[in-house]
Amino acid sequence: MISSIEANRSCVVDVASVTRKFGDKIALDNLSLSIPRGIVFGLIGGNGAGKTTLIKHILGMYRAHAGTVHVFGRDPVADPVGVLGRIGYLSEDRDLPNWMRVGELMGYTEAFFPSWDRRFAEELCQQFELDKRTRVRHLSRGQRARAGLLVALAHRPDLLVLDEPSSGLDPVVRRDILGAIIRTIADEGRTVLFSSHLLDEVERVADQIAIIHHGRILLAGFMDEIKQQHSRVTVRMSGNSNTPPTFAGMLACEGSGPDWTCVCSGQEDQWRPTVEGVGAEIIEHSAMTLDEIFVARVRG
Amino acid sequence: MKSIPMAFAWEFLEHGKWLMLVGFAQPLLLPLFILAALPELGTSLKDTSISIMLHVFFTLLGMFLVAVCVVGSREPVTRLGALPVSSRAIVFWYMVMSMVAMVTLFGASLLTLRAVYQADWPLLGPVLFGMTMVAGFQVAIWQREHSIGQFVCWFGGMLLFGFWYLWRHSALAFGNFMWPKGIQYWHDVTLLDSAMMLTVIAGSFFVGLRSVAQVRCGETYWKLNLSQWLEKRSYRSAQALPRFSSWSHAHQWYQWQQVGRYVYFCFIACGIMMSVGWLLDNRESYSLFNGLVVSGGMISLLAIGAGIIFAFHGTKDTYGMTNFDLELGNYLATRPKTSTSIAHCVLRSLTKTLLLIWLTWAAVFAFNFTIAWILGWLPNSLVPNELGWWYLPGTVVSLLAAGGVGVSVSLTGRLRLVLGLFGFVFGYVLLTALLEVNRLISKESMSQISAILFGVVGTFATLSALYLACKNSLISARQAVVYCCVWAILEAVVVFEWITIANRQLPAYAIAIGLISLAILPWPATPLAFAYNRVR
Amino acid sequence: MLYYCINTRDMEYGGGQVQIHVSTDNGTAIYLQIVNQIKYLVASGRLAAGEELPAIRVLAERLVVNPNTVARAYRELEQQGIVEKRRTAGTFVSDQGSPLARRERVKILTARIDLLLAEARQMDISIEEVNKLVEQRHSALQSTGSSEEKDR
Repeated sequence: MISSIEANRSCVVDVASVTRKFGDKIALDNLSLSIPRGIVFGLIGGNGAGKTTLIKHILGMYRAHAGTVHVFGRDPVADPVGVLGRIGYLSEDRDLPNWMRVGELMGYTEAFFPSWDRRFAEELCQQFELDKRTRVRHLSRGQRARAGLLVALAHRPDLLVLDEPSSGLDPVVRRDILGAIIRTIADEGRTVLFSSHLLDEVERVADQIAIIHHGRILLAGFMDEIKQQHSRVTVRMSGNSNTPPTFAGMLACEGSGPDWTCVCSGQEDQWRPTVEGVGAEIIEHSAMTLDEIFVARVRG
Repeated sequence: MKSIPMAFAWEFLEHGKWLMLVGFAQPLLLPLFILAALPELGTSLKDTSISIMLHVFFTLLGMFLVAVCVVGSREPVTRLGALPVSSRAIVFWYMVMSMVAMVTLFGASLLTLRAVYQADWPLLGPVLFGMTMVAGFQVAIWQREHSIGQFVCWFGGMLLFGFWYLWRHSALAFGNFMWPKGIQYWHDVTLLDSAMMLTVIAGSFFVGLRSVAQVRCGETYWKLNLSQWLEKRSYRSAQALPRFSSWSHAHQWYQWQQVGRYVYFCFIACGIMMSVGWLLDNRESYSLFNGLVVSGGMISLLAIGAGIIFAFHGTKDTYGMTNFDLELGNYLATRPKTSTSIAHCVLRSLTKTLLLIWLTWAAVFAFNFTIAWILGWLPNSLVPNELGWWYLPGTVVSLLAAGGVGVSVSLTGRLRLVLGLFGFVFGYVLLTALLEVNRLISKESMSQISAILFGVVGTFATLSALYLACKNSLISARQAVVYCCVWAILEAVVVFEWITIANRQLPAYAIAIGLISLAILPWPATPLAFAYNRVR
Repeated sequence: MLYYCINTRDMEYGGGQVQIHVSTDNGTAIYLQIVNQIKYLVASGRLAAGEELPAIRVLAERLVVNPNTVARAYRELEQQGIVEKRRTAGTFVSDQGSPLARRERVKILTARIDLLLAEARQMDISIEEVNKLVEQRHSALQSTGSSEEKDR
């Protein structure tokens, strides 16, 4: 009992078997996820996989049809003050009051957060080259994202939630956003949750990832472990059989004739005997990028 | 799709089929509604001056509504810029199709109206005129796509051309603009009429061709830079960073900046327009006070609109309003405050704005009253006898009730609910009118039933909102008790008045009870609505 | 694909040009890329013994990678004895770094030769031809006077 409470305390986000439907469409299907404190968590998945739905559950903007959501040990729907006050959030569409000037946006947002750091806000404003007198609707796409990031960061949130922070932005702004994630995590005890389909970025900054597909988690864990557990193996089938090899731990396979390139999960000493067991010769094996792992998992 | 015109026509029909159905129905609804409500008009739509006036009014309005639907069914022409089609073909086919659609829809509407009321309304003139107007309208929309200034000029020109229609009915005589006499139907389309309309169509074609060509290559001849100029001015004088003492202060500032001040300007503009109308019309003290008294009730209508837009907290507005729904934007939804406190903050700023409006109105009233009293121009009876001094608190309560209902419905963020409420009210009015016309029920008993129904529905809505808000622990028990007490005290005053003074009728009290309930309603209902909008 | 080239030379290092590249287009884990490249820099003498490595946070921001990844790379390097943590001062290239240098250099070169040979076999080019080619290239490079070692 005590240990489970302890475990919950170190978990910033705890989503337990949440199901959510929109009409007939199942958006989240018995999904469980927990995000420990002090890490960068990357949520990856295709369009419509359920990333935004999951994030909105964490923010208390959706009510789970089944299962529970806890953030900082509290229910975000019942206690918006306790949860949202410690979260910095930038939505995918970067929704901000269009008519406000940047300075007004800063002043307005400040009023909601007791922990707002005025000096940090000024520093970010200068670093992002934002003009405080410009209206939000006149900002360019990149500047708008920066303004949103500013108001999400300046109260030094315990949990930073970024939904598709880089979509549609140029590399310079993307770097600013990644820099913000890195700086946030470098402060002791802060946590970042971000969703993305730019897997290169996820691979750079995430400690843990979860691949979400059709409302389910296909794969979750530490980035290094996931990368260790996947490898690409090229095999040559003995004899003249033209059928692809099948063995335990194989996720996907393509090729023709005797040569096949397969994606395997598990450690090398696990799959090597099974591959050799089906009478295939291992020609080559190599590590995979996160991109390739994602495609193999989602297709498989 | 074998050819370009076929593709255009298919897209036009596919994209606009529902809108065009609306376009057909719209010109019918209002005449049916008005003629049902005023049965003495409906019986004889023959060659009388009233009948002709109604015809002119209905056809002009109908033309406009159909034109909006037809032109609204078109995709923006900018999208076609990349297609290998000449601008001439685009303009020609777009115009021809709009004109055909207009003739079909508007003609069908007019024929239906004629059949329903056995009226001898002419067909050819109005339909041809509508066809001309839609061509001009289409061009105005093209102008709009790249220059507001050109749009204003062209649109103004088209409005001026609309006077041709009035002139053709001899309705455009000076002196009796509001209710002209000696007017006639437009039975024969003369050579002059045809020449005029052909000229306008041809002119529209060439102006449209030019503006589509301009839109295609993005050039502009001249642009009205007023908004940019204003923006530059306000940029220079903009304050660097506002400071707020509390979030509630900040959010009320937000509400005032985003909505409140515009609602107030709107009220002031309406007041100025009415004053100018009075100055132009008869300048008699009786009509002035009549207008002031009526406008005390009319501001309640404004309050419904104010309530609805006060709840409008940004759509998913990345770039412009792409998704028209009242759904709460992510930014506001993630403010770290409870739904109740945000909803009450919105409600407080709405109440403040409405009270400001009422105070302005009351000040104007008092000013005029004093002057008229000093000069001895005071009319005998200012307000209807049944109301008496109840009139003043009545305007405040109905103002707050109207605003409260508007904001409560709109804060749910469901456009369907808002439209449903309007539809229900409209349907109810139509139903009572139909019942009265067909003499199924007398006018008096109908209004009694309506009043009692209003009282019952208002009270029921408020009490159930209180119950639901308590059950979902959105308001505390203490708050609930306070609301109940205020409600009970106000209702007690009404009931006391009813018991002690016998000569007043039940319906008035039912309405008063309903209004008081509805004025309390938003306090429990807005938290419910906001939570329903925020947590989906 | 994003490709960051980071120049970590600062005034206080005083040493030669220190370059680390991180890329995600091959499957190698990022911490391993950092480990390998620092090892390479130490082996090739571009990071001298006693020289200070950039702070974890600084390097993380420059490379745009997670600070935990950089920390892990430093830990790995420390375990292998390439660098040492001095209390409160930071991370420095350890003195034992230089004896390892020769062996490390050979190891890195061996890996490249393996790749070369694998490719040669696939293209059906014999080892004699490869040897001849190496000789040819060597003399060609010497004659142009370009002695600068290419990084990749």
